[in-house]
Amino acid sequence: MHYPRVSVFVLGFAAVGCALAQDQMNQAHAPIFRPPPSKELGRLTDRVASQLPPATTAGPIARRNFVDQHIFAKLAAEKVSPAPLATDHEFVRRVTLDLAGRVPTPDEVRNFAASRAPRKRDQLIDRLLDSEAFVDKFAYYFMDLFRANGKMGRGQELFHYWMKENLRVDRPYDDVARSMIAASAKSNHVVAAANVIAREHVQGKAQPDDAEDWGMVQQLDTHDELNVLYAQRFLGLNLSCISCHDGQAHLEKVNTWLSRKRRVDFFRNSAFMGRNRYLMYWEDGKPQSGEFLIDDAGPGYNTKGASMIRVPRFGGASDPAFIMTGEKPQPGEEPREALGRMLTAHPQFARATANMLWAKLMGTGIVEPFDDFDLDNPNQASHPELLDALAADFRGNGHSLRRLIRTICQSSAYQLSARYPGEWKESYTRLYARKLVRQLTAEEVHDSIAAATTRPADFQARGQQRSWAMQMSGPTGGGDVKHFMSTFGQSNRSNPPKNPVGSPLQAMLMMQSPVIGERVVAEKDSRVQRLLDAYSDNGRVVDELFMATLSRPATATEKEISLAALKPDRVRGAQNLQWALLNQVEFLFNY
Amino acid sequence: MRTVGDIYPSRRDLLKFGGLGLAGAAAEGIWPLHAAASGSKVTPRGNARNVIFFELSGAISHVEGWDFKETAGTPKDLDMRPVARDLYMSQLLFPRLSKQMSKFAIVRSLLSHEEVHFRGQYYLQTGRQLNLAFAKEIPSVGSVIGMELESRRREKDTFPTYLSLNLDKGAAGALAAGFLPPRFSVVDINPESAVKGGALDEKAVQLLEERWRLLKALRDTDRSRAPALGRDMAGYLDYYDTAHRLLTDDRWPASFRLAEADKQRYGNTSVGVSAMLARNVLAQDAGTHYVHICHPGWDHHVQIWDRSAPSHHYKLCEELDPALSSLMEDLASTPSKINPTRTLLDETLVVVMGEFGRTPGALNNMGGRDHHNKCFPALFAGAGVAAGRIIGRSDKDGVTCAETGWHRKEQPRIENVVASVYSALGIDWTKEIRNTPSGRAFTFVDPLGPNGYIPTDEISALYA
Repeated sequence: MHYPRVSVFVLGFAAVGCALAQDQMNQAHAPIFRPPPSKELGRLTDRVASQLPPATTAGPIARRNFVDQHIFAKLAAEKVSPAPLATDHEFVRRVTLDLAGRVPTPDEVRNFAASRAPRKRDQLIDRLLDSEAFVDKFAYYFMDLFRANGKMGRGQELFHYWMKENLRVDRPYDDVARSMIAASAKSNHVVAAANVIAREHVQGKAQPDDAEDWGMVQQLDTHDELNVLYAQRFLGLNLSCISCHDGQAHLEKVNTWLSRKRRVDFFRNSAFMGRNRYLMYWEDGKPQSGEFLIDDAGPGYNTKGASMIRVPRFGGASDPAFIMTGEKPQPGEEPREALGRMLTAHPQFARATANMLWAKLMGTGIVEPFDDFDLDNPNQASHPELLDALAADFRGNGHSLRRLIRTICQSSAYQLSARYPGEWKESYTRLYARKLVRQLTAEEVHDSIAAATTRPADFQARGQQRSWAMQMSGPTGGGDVKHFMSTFGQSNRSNPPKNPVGSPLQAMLMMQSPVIGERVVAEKDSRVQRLLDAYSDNGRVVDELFMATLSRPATATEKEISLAALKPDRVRGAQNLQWALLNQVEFLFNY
Repeated sequence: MRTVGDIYPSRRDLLKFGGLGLAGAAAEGIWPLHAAASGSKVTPRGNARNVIFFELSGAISHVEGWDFKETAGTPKDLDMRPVARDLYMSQLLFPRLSKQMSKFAIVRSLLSHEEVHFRGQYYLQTGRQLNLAFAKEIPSVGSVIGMELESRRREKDTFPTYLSLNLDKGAAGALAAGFLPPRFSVVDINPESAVKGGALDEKAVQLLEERWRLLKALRDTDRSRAPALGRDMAGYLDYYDTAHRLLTDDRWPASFRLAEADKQRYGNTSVGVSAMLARNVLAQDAGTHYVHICHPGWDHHVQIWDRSAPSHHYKLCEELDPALSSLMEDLASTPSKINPTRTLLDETLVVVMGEFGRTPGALNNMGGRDHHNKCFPALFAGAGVAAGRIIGRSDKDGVTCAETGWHRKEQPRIENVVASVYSALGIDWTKEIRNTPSGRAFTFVDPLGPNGYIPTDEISALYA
């Protein structure tokens, strides 16, 4: 699918970045995993092995694309053996959650497991990449990354629509980035790409003099915020340190590359935005927050301007120079277009984007934190050649996000089991010796509960009903749903999104929130009710509840216990069983 | 140099703690944090078992509050009366709080280095100014307290050490655990939902127990299933155990059962319910020791005295007055669980403040007051605080500090408020953790900020 590279089209969205703070900390300070004593482990393994469904993944692990050449070569060099491939049941659940944001239906699981097509995993990946659920899920992801919220006013809905369009047609990502950086607009309620700028604006004076008062938006601070944002999202660089002081004598232990950068380098990179002008709309004698005019009629970057959020600047007028190369705009070239050109042409753009999506799908970045590259630290990347190869493939193929995602998902590295036979060492994590599990996002938890119980939500968006949290342009709902979602780490779009982290409060809500409680009740069109109506045989009911909730068949012992629970009162028992299955820890994770 | 063992309990200790068991500890990662006293010698008071931090988020206008100044912007209807020496209170805004003021000491000379809400709230809840480069790893004061008090947890303690009430409606968002293990994260409670779902009736508890037995039976068929998939999943099993223990500990639902009469007294508002829950949770003495209450909405740039505006000062005071007054009344009349001769207030430090003040003098051209950080007041009570004392003085319009009122010529700052909180709980606030992810030492209260050296003394003038 090709999207015409017409830059007149002011589409654009962007991406990425964002600080998975907790996650980074966990990686940086991973503890030593303490397995049970080996005798105990042996018994456990025997018991587990006796209960697992028959393995369908015996045999050597195929090298399925260039990703595997790098990953398995390094594992071999380190003399670490990889986990076996995931079973079909594990794979269909994993990839459906990763690409569509919710658990698969029982039929999807069964049909996939039963299929004998030799390329069935590739086919499933392609089917998911072509689905609307994929568009919804990744649009939500990018909305989180760019913290799309009320600061865009009504532009938030437009921006969401445009994100989905970009993903649907697989618009080249460099083109998306350029249109965001260079967007001009009479109003961000009309030009979608301009909403990134609208979102980053720094509020200025509370009482502007009149409609022409630029002070409503703090112009200089907004230039700097955009500079920090573009560098982090598109280049994986954290410039916020040098936005206030030189790197030298501050950042030697933090980031070698940044320790060699000065604050004036930051000013010059901000100076590409120097003529960018942000005017808040004015109506009824009042500023209308959320709607902006964005053009290039500004006076240029001058550090003498006032600041609300940074320590005093020094110097004076600054000319633009790209922080990566020192390159200046060509004569007659609009500075913001020049920045978009240089930034997307720089190899770091493709590397940062590839690393970001790799981190999302693989659980940890080749460079970690994924948006905090140290370009002068040769040891930061776990697989530098792989990162370059992913970046080259991305660049050489029209910066196609979909191709990048497909390449990662098709690899055997992505398809390894999350169970590791033998003793796991924390140092294996960055070798990708097994698939790393991740906790589901709030939206994924909600939508998976809705899918498992066939009780979707009733959200409203622009007057239309929406079934899934992932279809919304931002956090939604009130009361119990809102509380549930925020407890599971839904991004409020004020701060950068974080990887979900577990808490006792989440467990408490799983056990007693109406978000679960009302959905497992045997009534209306709930799965429990449908199954009780459809099957008089409790065995079928149990089988279906396992498949719908955990995407796997029950083991023999699990089935025995479940049947016993349904025996005295099949309605109450079936409700209890689905509740218990939703409360299995595995439900909350992608493994 | 302190050793790991000082900060982290032994594995055996962990097993006995109500909070989390061994698997949780392993799952969350105990890396060897190196904490050390920084060299400066301080003696933490340890005069409080609990702290309630009552945050008036959005910043309450101080010149109609605890530092009254009659100016061009003062409305005529406030009915100001003297309630103590040098203390005028509005009988319209604070009819009940006026009667509680004898329990408070007032610091009137505070300085914040921040003038923007989020940064100001962050400053309050972390004790340092926001530094974007390190924000990710900085733990909030409550999380540090969670870590420091972990070794004091008793077997019967099931409640989380660090609780936040009504946070989701505020803009705070500054309550992260930073580089500390997630078990020290805040448990933030939405008061309305909690009241609805927190109190399980007998039938609900029976159903929960029936379901829990099924869940356990299914889990027991393969106990290695979750742990085999990594430490995050292993840790989650402990979250479930903690949650189950809370849900089935009578004291937890009891804390969320609200009497109709209490609702009348506290006001059936978010802040009223939060104050009731704070009282209930602390009265149970079940492990919670730091409670953050957020009362948001004070950011009245526009129409602060306009009763037809969506929010105005009158309305917020109508919520605050009964909530805070009833809380003070009840803390003072509830006997301590560990020492019947004392009250809950005797063992609880209460701090009431906004992230800064609001511009004194005439109103702005939109009929509101803007942000003012140069000099503003805070209230302190309980735990031996010298009730009735007034510390520091602002100038005649409430703009600048006329007298710091403590042992230094610099105004007391947010750092000093936070140092006082740590001190009250017996925590050495000069302690450092050196091996942070960034490599930059984390001092509980940092003497070095973007604005240069800051004395980190506690506000000892609060005490007799």
